[in-house]
Amino acid sequence: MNRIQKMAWWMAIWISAGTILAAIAVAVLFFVIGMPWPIARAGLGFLGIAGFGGLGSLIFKKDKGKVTCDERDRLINNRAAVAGFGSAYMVAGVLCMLPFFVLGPAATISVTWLPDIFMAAGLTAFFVHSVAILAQYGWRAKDNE
Amino acid sequence: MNKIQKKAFMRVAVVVFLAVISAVILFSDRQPPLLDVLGGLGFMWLLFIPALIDLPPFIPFCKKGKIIVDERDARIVQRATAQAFGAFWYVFPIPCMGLYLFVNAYRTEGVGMISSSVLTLIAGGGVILVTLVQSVSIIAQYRKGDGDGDK
Repeated sequence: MNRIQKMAWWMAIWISAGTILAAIAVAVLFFVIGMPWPIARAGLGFLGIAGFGGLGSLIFKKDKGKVTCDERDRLINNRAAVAGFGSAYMVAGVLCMLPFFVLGPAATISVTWLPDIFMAAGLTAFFVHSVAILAQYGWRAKDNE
Repeated sequence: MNKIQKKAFMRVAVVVFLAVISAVILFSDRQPPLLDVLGGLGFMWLLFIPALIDLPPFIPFCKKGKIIVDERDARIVQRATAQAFGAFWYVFPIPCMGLYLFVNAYRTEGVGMISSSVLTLIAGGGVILVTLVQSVSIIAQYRKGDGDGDK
């Protein structure tokens, strides 16, 4: 497993952990404890855990003196980046259109939707980027060292 | 000029055409309410039409049986797509965080509210931006390259 794959695994795991914990926290606060939505959504703060994914480049350091990235690696990374950005673009588009179609054109929504959409799109970009890298290399392939 | 370049020119032309129509409506004597004009930008969704039907009905493209996309073309399109999404990510936070800060700064009480139509404008703007940047990038890369893109 090469450095890019390790970083992709690291990122995917932290984003998954943050998303699952946030979903559990919001569900518990809203459904079990019965808190109102504006307070229950504080559980989304667990998404901050996903930020640890960004430490991947510090933890998995480059091997000195070795060629760590060739043409194929760059191609895989570029393709994964486009897939990540494309997915995030789609998520942003859907989340922007959803209130219009569900609530109607005359409806007003809380302005807190906007940073939420931005955050959801950002997490999608990083997550899909990581998954696309892992999928292109083969999830457990050992010959990419 | 190859198929990819023609598509890029077509998309730029559609965006410019619709932008001109919007500008004409905006500055016409009728002076309709601003929100109605912005609603008129919904015409921009027409941009999807060339993408969906892939243009062959309108423009005579390459003959069948010829190779129409090679390695270099694929690389140009991929680079243009990456640049378009990159541009989107530079611009997208501006309306999201800008509106959030602006509305919250000027709210009188409770939580700031916005019309659901505003979100559709952000989405529409994103589509226009991505389409425009991708198309312009494709045209620029072929211009900068060694060949004229003919196949």
